Amino acid sequence: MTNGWTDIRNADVVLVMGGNPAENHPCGFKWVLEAKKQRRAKLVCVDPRFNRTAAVSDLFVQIRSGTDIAFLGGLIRYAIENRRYHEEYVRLHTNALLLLAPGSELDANGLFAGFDGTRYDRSLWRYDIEAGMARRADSLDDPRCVFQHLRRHFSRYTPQVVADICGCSPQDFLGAAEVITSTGTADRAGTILYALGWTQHSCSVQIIRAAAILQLLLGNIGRPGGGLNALRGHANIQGGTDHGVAFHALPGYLQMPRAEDTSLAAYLSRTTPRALLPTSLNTWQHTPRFFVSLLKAFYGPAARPDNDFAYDLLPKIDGNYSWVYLFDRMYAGQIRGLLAFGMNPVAGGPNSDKILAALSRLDWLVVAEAFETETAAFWKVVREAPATEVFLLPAAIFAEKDGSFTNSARWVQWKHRAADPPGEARPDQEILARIFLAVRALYEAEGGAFPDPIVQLSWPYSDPQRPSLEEVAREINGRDLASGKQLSGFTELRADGSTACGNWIYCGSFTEAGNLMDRRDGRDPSGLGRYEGWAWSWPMNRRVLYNRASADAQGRPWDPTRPGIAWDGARWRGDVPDTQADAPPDALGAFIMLPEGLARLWAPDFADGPFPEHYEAAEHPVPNLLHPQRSINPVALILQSDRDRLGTADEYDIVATTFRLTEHFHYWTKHIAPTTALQPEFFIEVPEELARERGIAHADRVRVRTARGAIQGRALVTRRIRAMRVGGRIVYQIGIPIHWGFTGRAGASREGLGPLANLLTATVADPNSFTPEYKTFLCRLEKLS
Amino acid sequence: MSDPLSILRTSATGTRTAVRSEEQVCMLIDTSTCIGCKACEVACVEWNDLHVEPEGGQRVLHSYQTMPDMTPAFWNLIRFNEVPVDQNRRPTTEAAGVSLMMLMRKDMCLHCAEPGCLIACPAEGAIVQWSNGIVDFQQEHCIGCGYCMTGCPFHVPKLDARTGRVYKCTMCIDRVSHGLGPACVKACPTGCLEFGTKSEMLARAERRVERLREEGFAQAGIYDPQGVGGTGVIYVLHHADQPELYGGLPRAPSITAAVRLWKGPLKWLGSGSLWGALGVAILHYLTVGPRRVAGRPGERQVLRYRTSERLLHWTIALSFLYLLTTGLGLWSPHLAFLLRVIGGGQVARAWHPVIGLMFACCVLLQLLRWRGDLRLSGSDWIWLRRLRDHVAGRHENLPPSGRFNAGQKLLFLIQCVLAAVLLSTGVPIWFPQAFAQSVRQVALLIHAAAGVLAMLSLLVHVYMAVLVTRGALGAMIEGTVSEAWAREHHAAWAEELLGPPSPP
Repeated sequence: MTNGWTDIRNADVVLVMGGNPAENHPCGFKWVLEAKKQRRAKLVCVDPRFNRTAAVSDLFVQIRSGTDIAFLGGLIRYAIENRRYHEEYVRLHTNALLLLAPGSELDANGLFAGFDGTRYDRSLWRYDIEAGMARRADSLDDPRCVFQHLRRHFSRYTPQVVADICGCSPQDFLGAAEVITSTGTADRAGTILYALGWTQHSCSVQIIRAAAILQLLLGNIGRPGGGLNALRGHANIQGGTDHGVAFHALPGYLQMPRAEDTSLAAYLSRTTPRALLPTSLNTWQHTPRFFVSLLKAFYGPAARPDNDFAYDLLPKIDGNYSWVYLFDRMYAGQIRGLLAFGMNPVAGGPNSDKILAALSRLDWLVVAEAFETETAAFWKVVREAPATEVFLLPAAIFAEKDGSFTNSARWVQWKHRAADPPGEARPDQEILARIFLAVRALYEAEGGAFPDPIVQLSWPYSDPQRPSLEEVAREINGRDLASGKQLSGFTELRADGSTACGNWIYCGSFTEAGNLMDRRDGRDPSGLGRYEGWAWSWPMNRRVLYNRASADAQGRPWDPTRPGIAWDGARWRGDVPDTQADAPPDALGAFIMLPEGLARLWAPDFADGPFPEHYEAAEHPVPNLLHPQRSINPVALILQSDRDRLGTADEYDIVATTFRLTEHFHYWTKHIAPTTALQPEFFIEVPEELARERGIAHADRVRVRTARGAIQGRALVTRRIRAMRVGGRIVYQIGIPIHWGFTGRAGASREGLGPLANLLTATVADPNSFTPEYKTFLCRLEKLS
Repeated sequence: MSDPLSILRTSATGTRTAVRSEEQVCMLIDTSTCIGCKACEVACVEWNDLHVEPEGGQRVLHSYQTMPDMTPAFWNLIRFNEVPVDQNRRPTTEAAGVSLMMLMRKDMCLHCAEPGCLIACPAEGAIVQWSNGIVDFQQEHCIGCGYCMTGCPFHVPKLDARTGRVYKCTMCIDRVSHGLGPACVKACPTGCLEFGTKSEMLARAERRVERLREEGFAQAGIYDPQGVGGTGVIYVLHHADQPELYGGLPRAPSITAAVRLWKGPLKWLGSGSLWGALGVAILHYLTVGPRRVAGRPGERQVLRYRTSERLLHWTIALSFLYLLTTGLGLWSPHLAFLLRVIGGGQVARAWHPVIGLMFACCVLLQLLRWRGDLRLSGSDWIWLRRLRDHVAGRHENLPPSGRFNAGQKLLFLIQCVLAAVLLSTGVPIWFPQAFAQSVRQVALLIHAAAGVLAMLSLLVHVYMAVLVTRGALGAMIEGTVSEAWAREHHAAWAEELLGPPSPP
């Protein structure tokens, strides 16, 4: 979230799209209702299904799964053509005025410049640079400026085109557009809430880009009540992301060294950006400080200036090790062992059948879990007994250990153990520590090919077998190595090895003043829901990111009733400013993480284009109306093993989407009686019209089949999903909840692999985030006798 | 709240035990901001330590509703109601609907100011209304009769077949009495549940209704039905003009006429007629007196009742006595002591229907056995026309009777009819879950009325057979009567059996 849960109450319009917070984030959703009750905010819900968020919305538009960019593109066009954008904001805080070199236009075939058949050469998408700096137009009317490129790009997304692609009516779209773009003024603010309904597509990052563009045009980024807010799917997935759980990032979103970064200098020169405008603070210029401090935290005394701070000990990546490729390699027999902590790949990954086959080819599998998950029990259900040796280690659950949760709002909240783990269950850190210490002892005793990364790893905990999470938290915050004092913020980090810091964005969370994550001050002096004394928010306890954009060129809040920060002549007051606290309003651009210091309406950073473009999902019921010869994202990652099959609309005529229910948490709560009682049995949501056409009665048993697999369950015939007219024909969508499998208490559906939703999904992924396309695929629906 | 645990009134005591002095507590349910997350359902199960077992199959409903109805172990159910609406979000027909509204309603005990359950409950202390308005079931006193289920206009109380007790929401009286809100309110993430005093909640509800009207829901309103004196749980509804859309919320709930008649006038009528009948009997005894037949030594004895007939009679008599005692105990709080005498309310609840069935079977057998003797002949009609002579003791004016005189025949036939009525109305009371509430309400009323009539008929029978017609009791015990007795009371029968009377 750029803003935060408690900030939603400041919104005038809440657009929920690609998410279903009423069901999946009911506690946070209270702030939406608060905005409705206190501010008369309008809630607009756009979704393939009339869900529980739609039930309390003021406006609901049903769209076809996977057509979000078309809808958002239509909103962008509507805002520009009807001059509903916040012009002053756009001129001041975005790159709208910067001039582009030729190459950012989409051609008639649906391609940007630089496509070589598999990928784009992104260097062709660039600003018009003069003496290292981007050139600026005088007026938004300059045809070479970003704004005009944007206008031209989205001019095709007329209400009729949107309606034809999305399967809604032009009136539905226009009704929503009117409300959503009503926030393009200084006195109004609107927020967008999204979740996995946007992130799980083969063009997911571009969906979010489109939303960011819309919010920037409306002047909603950085402002209380605004923002672009990702609602995370786990209590601490934000923490996981922050600490580099993905293969291509180190803690604090530092880039992972690649094989070609053969020295520290080479790595830093590739990853440290240079400012593109004189007004850019360009925070990433400090990458060397963040990175060297991280190496000091990793390797301690072994990281010295004369050995590049042990840079050579850090693994370098030579390919794509994201989820889908990891399991592809495993399926190809290239991986021998897997440690699965808090992960249930059989249920959670796409194309479960392939994952089961991949696990069968492992020598060993260690699962640390509180329950026997599908992954731990996979060997019981695969057709041929695998040779894989499976260890199930009983692990403590979240309430049985302390530590921190980082919520969607970036609040790092310390928690305290509520109970001891039962029986032999151990906290994850103890399991990991004991494995590590045993491996290290082996390396120390026997040597081996490359023992240094293990042997030299810093392990400074007072009880090495059971590292206390408080010690780990102190290590993450970082300290000055000379004085031994905890650092109070990342500006104190140094690139000379005098500071150690486990994650620069968490620097300031555990200072000499103590554990700030454990603060519980419920006061809200601003009245804007910042609660700055409650826990600690990264970075620097800032509650709203990009909050410099909440004020105009003179540093006055756009809306004085909802000030983010304000310039008082000497300093910025209000929230922790997202700029230099004493830099006058005209000194720096508002977006200090970007080399131009301005928000990017146009962005060359992404694999699939500088502007978002509507592409169909890998499996789609109709060709792309905008460019039928290029229906899907040209650079989508589509895996090619013998189990990675894609279906066509001729064979598979129905669009399917997966979703979660409020009653369950992933594949976990089906092990627990009260929550299982709330939703005991798997079902498939079938539109009434489709059920009538196929002779399916309510609660009949049906089978859903895709090119990958089939599952069975009872039909829940519903009016909440309606038939749609797309591309001149009727398209049906069905909904499949994900929570069931072959373990747990939900007894009624245990035959074989059970109704594992991911037996159906395809191994297709977004080229930027590598997230699989769980949300849109094609299927057949058959009634079982 | 000073002392919320003082009792305002108690079931089956007939009287109010306190004067309402404290402010009623109240839960406000704003259905317009309920997201159907079911946190309240889980909180209820957890706090009250209820044990729900997941059941597949039965619950794939058209919506996400957890189960079709509340159960003895599930006191809080969000009802998901999907309603087609028009452009202006007014409920409309399926065909005319352009969109949907999901009207989510938290179903639970509404804690009526005039609780139908409490009014109907025959078990002393099984249902209490605390002075803060909370209506609370005390399972240790519950006899499992299910009358509360018959009395409740909202179909809330649920009978647990396993324990034979009835359960429902307690408004977390244990929490409330310690100054906390109910568990469901505590767990609600959206604030659609609030808890406080009734006046405070009504004021908040008013504000929400105003807002909803501003948003275009012209029919928004508060559900606080006055038919039950207002409720301790009030709803804000988008469509207050159509509460039935919210999972069958009754439009104008009240304690129905059947329940009111049953618990009010019928009681007065019943006890009035009982005392009246007793009075008439005493008066009759004093003025007319018994009818004795002087026996003669060595007189022939005539078999009047076979052993099987006598066995049947006494089975009927004893079972009826049991039914009467338990029935009276369940019917009137003043006679509740009778239940204690014969093993307590729970035992009575369990055995009354079984004995009742046995009673009805025996009556039927006796009817079959006696069917020949019960036929009304021409002279019976003369007898009946001269009933007054019989009552006044002028027996010489009456035509000779067969084995039974016309009065006896009629009385037994009436008793047979009453037995049939009692049995047929008793079955729905026996199995409350298998019959509609309206059927049960009428059944209870008729059952009680029939019971009163049966009691009166018994009174007539016992008076006549024991006090007036001397020798009749002996006949039913020993089986025989003297020739003289037979010729005096049942001349036609005696003649048929013994021939014409020998001259003295």
